[in-house]
Amino acid sequence: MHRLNPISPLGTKQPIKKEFGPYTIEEVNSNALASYSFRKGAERDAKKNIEQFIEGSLPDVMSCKFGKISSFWIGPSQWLIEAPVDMYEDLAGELTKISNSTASITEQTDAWCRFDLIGSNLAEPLSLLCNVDVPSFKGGEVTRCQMDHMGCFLICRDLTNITILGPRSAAGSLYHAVTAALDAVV
Amino acid sequence: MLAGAVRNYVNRWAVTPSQNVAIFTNNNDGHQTARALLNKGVNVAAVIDTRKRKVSSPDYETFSNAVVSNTSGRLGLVSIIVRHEDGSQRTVKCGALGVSGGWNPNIHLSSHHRGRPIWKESIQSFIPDDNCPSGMLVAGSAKGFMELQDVMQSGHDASAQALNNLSIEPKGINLPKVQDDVKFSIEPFWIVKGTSRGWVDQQNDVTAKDIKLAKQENFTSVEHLKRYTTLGMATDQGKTANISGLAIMANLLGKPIPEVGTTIYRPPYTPTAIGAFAGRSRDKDFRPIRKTPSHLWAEEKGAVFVEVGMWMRAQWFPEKGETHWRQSVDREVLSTRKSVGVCDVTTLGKVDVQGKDASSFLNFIYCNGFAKLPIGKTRYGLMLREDGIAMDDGTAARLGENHFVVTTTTANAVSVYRHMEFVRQCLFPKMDVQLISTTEAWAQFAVAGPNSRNVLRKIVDKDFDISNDGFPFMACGQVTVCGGLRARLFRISFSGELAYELAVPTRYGDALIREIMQAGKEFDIVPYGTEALGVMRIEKGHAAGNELNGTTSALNLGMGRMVSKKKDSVGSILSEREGLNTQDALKLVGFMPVNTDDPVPAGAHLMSAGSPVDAKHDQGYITSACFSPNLNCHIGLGFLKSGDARIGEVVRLVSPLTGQDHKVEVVSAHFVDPDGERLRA
Repeated sequence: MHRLNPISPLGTKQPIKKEFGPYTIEEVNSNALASYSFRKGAERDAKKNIEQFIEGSLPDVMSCKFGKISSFWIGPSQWLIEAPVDMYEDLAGELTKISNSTASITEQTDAWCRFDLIGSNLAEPLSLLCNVDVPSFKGGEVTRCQMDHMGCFLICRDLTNITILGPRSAAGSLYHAVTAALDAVV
Repeated sequence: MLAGAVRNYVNRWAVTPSQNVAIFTNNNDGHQTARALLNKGVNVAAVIDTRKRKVSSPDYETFSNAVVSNTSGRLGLVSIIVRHEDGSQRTVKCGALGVSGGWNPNIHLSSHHRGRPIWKESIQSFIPDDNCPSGMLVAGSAKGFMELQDVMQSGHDASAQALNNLSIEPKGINLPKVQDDVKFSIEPFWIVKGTSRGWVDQQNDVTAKDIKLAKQENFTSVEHLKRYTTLGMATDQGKTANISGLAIMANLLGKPIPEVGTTIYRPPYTPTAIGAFAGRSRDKDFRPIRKTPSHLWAEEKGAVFVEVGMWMRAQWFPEKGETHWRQSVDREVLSTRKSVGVCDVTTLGKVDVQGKDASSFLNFIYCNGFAKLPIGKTRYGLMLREDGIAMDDGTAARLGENHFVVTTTTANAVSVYRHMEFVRQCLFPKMDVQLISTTEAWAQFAVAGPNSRNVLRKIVDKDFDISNDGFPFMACGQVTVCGGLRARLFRISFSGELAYELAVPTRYGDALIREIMQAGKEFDIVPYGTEALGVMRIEKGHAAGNELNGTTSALNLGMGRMVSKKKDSVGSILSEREGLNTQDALKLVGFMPVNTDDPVPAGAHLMSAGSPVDAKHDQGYITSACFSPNLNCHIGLGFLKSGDARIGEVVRLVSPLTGQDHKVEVVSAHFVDPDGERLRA
């Protein structure tokens, strides 16, 4: 076991959790992330390999699926795979092994900061942050958007739990933007 | 002034623009203003009414069927010229002129919902149509009713309708009867004929002459007229000028006004401060701030930060007793070259390139060859734009047969990634290449200086051989550090010293910088910031953003031979253009002052000894400059015509703006270790 201690994207040892009236914002850094892209000509095998690993089918375009290992569509033939970091610290390494050169895998765990918004009517604060049609969500959607000039993913786990994945280096700015929006609606 | 404004001032605030006011009107409302002025004891010099029928008043002089054709007065109005129908003229002394052209209903709110206004002849203006969105009822003057009795009735009717819509039975009320209601009467009048210009839009200085010109140029549609002349733009959004302008255009076209149409209005209805749109995006929240993985640690060390793109980078690390930035920077440079220094270089763009065609793809992206780069090796690469001009530089490390990590400059990380995606998706859609940015995913530190290997031996786990033989210059590979953490190690150098770049998952970046500093204590390790980084790269003669400035080619940068002729790559053909390959092309060289006390300021231009100082005789310019603590004088990099053939020549450095004019010697761009022995040590 190495001797380096991690810090969260916001620079703390423990992730931050804060309540704003009926809403809660929670920093989550307990998951490993890796991108999984099909290689040309090997799509069928690449799909089969990853679906065995995640124990289910890959989500469709602009969709996500949740389980012990979750997956989000992020682009043509490209998904983000999410798994608990304590079980899959080197998720990218494991995916590389199972892909058997049928897919390109890139570690993305620390590329992102993740804030989960919890509460009912999340469309209200999110309408101040991005132009996504959140009221049309039914659960299981993923989409790319911009919040305060930052490129983010919006992932609807269910209607009371929406994840914002943003650039890790700008975690402080993103947290400020989200909490300012929450402040404005409570 | 608008006559309505004059009336508001006297009625609401007991203020008048003058004690002697004339009114110019085409409707009854102008006479209302005259009466309001008289009621407040202000003299009405005359009311000039354009209407043919005689409108008279016992209280003030009235000129019917007349116009105001001119005014006089320099710092204030002194008199007006009244021109009668028969051409005769008369001067009327006055200190203010109120102009009344009738009232335009406020149709903006209904326009915001895309309602198309309709023309109402009796008031010579547009009113909202009847297709308002559900819940919107327009009443009163906004609906085109101009007499008070009608306005009240309209309000009553609209209220009743609103109640009905809510299934509430309205209680009938008896509306009061208006005594002496002023009948609204207007005759169209758009322009005083015979004037040279005829101001239409006071906000944008649009004149009748401009509208005529728009018609001549065939900008006759109202939308084109607006954009050609700026009629109706700015804060009043055409509230005062639109109808006049459209009417003049209709007249020129020989069409009725409703056929010409009107523009509609966008929000906001009332002028709104730009700050209201900016909202919370101001001061430090104006745009996102990107922090490096070592930001917290750097703050603890008292680093001075500089914004680079959106990144906050440590510029230098002042130590106790240092009162000037140069003291800190010189110390950081000297210490790094003498022993070892560490710098957070996470901000450099990092792009993961994978796939069976990854090497072919890079071979096309970079002008130099990448197809045969061995696994475990890094190569410097130069990207050209389609037009042959240098776009960006960086390194590509081959981590596997089908896996590269490309670095870009901090500033161009996004644009280079976009360019790569363009090539992948549009130029070579059949290539098996996958791209993804990993800039944020890895914390990367440059450890530079003769003792860098000794420091890293305490960080990199023993299983990995980082000796000069085991991990030579430009090597790269996966290693583990600090007892098993996966990491990437690159033996590349921007400073010109023996140097490495070590990358770990970002969450461990803070811990790693502390480990490196601890490990380097016995070697007097120093952290260095972007200033020292800049000084060392200039001393080494590496091109950076100042040199890759969007006007320079590989040839200019001294890398002409890097553009491989054995393959095709972006920009390689157009880099052969005659104009980019002249005999006296600019070449990157170094400059040292003949008098070592003289500065070498960036932006200064270079002239041959004895030549006039003008653009025609310009020989080049300085791009990067610094004080070199190693050479103990200022040095610079710059582009000089045929510079590589002029080493040793003394040229004039001139900066007419700052009055500088002194001699500099043309030298090699590599001030330090020109043979590259240090970085291969």
